[in-house]
Amino acid sequence: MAFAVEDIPDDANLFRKIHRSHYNEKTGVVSSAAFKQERMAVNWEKHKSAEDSADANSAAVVALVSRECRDLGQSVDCIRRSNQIKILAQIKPLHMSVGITEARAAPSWAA
Amino acid sequence: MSAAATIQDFGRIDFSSLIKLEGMKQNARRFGLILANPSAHFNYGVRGLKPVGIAESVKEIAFDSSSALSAQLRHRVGELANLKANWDGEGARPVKPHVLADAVETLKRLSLQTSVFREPFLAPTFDGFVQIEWHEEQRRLDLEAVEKGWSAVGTMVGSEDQRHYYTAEFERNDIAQLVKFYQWLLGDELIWPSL
Repeated sequence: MAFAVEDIPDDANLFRKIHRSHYNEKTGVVSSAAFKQERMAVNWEKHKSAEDSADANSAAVVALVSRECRDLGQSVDCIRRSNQIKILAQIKPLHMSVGITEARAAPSWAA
Repeated sequence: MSAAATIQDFGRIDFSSLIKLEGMKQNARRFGLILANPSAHFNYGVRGLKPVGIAESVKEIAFDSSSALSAQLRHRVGELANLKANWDGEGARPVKPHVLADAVETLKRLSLQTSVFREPFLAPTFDGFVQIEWHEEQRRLDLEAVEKGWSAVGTMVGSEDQRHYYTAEFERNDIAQLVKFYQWLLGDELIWPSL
């Protein structure tokens, strides 16, 4: 079944679940290791809420702003699979992913 | 012969660290095994006993070795050692036992070489490695274990909340270099250490 291609606007929030092993409960800081994937699966807020983006092993859900990802040289493309939107991120220098972490470290939702 | 089994050669595994070898030996003793060949290449299999996988054994070494660390860090090492394949639900690999053992050993050595040892946060990476992180008010240091050693990222918060990032890579056993980065974190080194 084919889906229409949607453009993700720059101001869109993209929710990413944070596994509990990447969340420092003592300091409330999300590890940059949580963002070290070439392809990071996220949920576009248009299709899925922050709460629904979590699973049983999530400690938090963070919001990435589409524009900030693009400003860091990442491509943000929409792929719909079972109502999940994915970012296809380019390979990037490590510090860029740290930048994302710090920009949006505060969890918008916690279990 | 006692209840202990004899260790035989079933394959060759090269452990780069004698510390690991010692750990293997201790584990073997704990499981009631007799070392047939205590050489630098530790080769073993078990006859008459349930085989202990190499990965499991190294994992236990990492955990045993962490006894010199705080209870909190030790607990954390145990958590990382027990992450199963696909722990994130998206295909993440379990932490490689020898990498975890290296991280523990690195922290032990660092704690011995510095007067002020801050507890780091240990995080798994999706490809089975480990990251050691320290977060201070003005500076942050992330050490990611990679195939060839450590990949370091330093973050410094400047005026007007600007972030400055520094990177470096160094060998896994280069504790002197690690100490320099750690001193940078604490502010003892003002400039990011160049290699």
